[in-house]
Amino acid sequence: MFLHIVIYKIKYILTDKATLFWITIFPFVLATLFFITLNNVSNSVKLEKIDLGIVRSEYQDELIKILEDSNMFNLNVLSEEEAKDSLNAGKLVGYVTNDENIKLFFQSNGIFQNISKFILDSYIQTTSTIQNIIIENPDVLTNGFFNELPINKTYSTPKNLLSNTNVTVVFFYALIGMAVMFGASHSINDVKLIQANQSSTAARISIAPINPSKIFFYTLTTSLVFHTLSLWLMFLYLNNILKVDFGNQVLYILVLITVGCFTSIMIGAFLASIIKGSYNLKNGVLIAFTMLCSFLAGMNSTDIKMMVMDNAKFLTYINPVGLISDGLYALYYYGPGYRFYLSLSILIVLGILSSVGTFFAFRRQEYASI
Amino acid sequence: MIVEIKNLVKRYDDLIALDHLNLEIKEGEIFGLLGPNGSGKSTAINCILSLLKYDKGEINIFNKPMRPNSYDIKKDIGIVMQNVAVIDGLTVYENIDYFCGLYVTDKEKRKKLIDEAIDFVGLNEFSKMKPKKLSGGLLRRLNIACGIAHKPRLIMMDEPTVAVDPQSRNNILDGIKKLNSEGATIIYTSHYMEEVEQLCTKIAILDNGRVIALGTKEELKSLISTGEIIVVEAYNLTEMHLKDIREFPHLMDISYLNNKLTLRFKSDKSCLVNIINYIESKEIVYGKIYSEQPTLNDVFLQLTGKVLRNNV
Repeated sequence: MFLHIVIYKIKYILTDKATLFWITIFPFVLATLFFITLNNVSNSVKLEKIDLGIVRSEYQDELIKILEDSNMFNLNVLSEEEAKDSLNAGKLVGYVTNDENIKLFFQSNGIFQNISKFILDSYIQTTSTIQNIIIENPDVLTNGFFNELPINKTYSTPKNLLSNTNVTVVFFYALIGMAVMFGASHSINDVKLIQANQSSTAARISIAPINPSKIFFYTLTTSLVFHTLSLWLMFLYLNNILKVDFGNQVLYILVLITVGCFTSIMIGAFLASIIKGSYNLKNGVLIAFTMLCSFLAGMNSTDIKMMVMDNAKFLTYINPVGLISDGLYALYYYGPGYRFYLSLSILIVLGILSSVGTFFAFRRQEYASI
Repeated sequence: MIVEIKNLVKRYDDLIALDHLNLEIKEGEIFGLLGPNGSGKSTAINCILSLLKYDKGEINIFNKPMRPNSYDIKKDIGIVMQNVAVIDGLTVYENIDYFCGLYVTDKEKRKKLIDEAIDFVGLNEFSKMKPKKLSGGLLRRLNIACGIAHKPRLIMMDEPTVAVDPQSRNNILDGIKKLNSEGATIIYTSHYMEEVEQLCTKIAILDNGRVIALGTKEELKSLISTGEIIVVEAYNLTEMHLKDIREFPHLMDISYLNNKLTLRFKSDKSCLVNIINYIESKEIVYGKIYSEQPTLNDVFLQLTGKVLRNNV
């Protein structure tokens, strides 16, 4: 019986073109569109090294060392005449003279000129401070004062232990979260098939000599497996074909997706079992619920996610899309630690609570009207 | 007794859909539940199948109480719904296989049953087609095949011929007789009195959730005083003629409207010859002349004072 129902459930999913498209294929399409759009955004703001000229002088070595250390410049050491010519020809963003004072020459203003000015200002400020200290107190040169002075100390460090930082992946996290939640639509179909007051087909199934809950369990299990596999496929498509950087925690990501699918299927079943209305009403409510969760999880704008975290943090703990998105985020930046396991645990709890709710909603269900 | 219903009461808020309904259906019968829309036929079927909660009463099937979890009873019941109950994405064969598979787990046995069901409803050449491609009549046949493929002892047919063309309707009615001849007991609901008259060995007429008459069609017709009805397309009838006709023995009712003379007689003896003789002796010009026996609609009309259905 189990196999009979599973086979026909798979046939049903594969032949129901609308459901197949919206639940399984649409997320792939959306992922591809996200990839194309975000890839363009990412490329447009890629920071290239700044072509800067250094006019030869006796103090040039220290300046060149500092600028090279910043790793932001292509430095060209040349005469002042050559520097002027190169600037006029557009080969340089600017050039620096270092006689008595350091001077920076530009032909126009822009982001590269501003960055160059900012770094040189910082250098001038620091050297000027050190000179003043030495003039005021020459002993500092011999007592090791400068060894203890935190001149080049960095106070903020991006804690990216496992992979490179790429902010656009946040959108893909929310997209995966939303695609996972689409699984709830499978459950509505499964509920529809056993609620005798929803369709004649369901009434026919309800009078068969088998407990409708069993049929529901079998179809729901099939939906869960089918949805999980399609989400795994989507993740592999993003990771291996579109080369979206999800870090190197593939196994944990697949576990998170699987748990997310369980939760979404059970939430769908629970909502479908408690909403007293037509199939279309249930579907509408569920789509609205998924969209709201995705919105709050930052699929449209990461600012929304931040706003929710600042003002209504509890929403992040009950929003399944947010939990999936946050779990992926935690894996990417911190690895499988406390934050990841918190998201995973809450998803499991939400899934179990929905299962229990569904069980009670269907328990010995008879209808007052059909 | 295959089905026994005692004092069944079903309410929808203030509306009493079934009002102390009592029925007994014996093995081998084609039992007709006849009544106008809203008389409680489908509600009765849904209560018998435990799809609907009822407020009071008792339902026994195969001499056992029927409950939602009476799977040993359910395995011997088939249902043909009023609305077509199939899965759109599956083919004709797959639909029958899916529903039959809920009753019969053995694959070989099931294949044989499906082939028989497809043969029975004449869908052989459509077995690979999906329901959306089928005409209304073929869809109804698929609906029947899904309900009877597992060879149930008791088949409930809830208005299976609604919106079906005459040819498909005749096929369906022939099929139902065949099912009955193979041993199935059938409960058949309809508001088409001709179908019920043609098919059913026993009939219950329902109105406002109550059985107002029960018996064979002959027994039901004997309940009313109306006998033969003679209709004459007669021209230039005078008051004198009508006065003479009113003197005919056993005449219960007479009407003459738009050159149509309708005569209702009390007895079941034929008065046609007497009428023809009178018309000819008075040299009355006439067209068609025919005699009718009372129908179940007449029975219903006389018992309730209203017609069984308006769109006859």
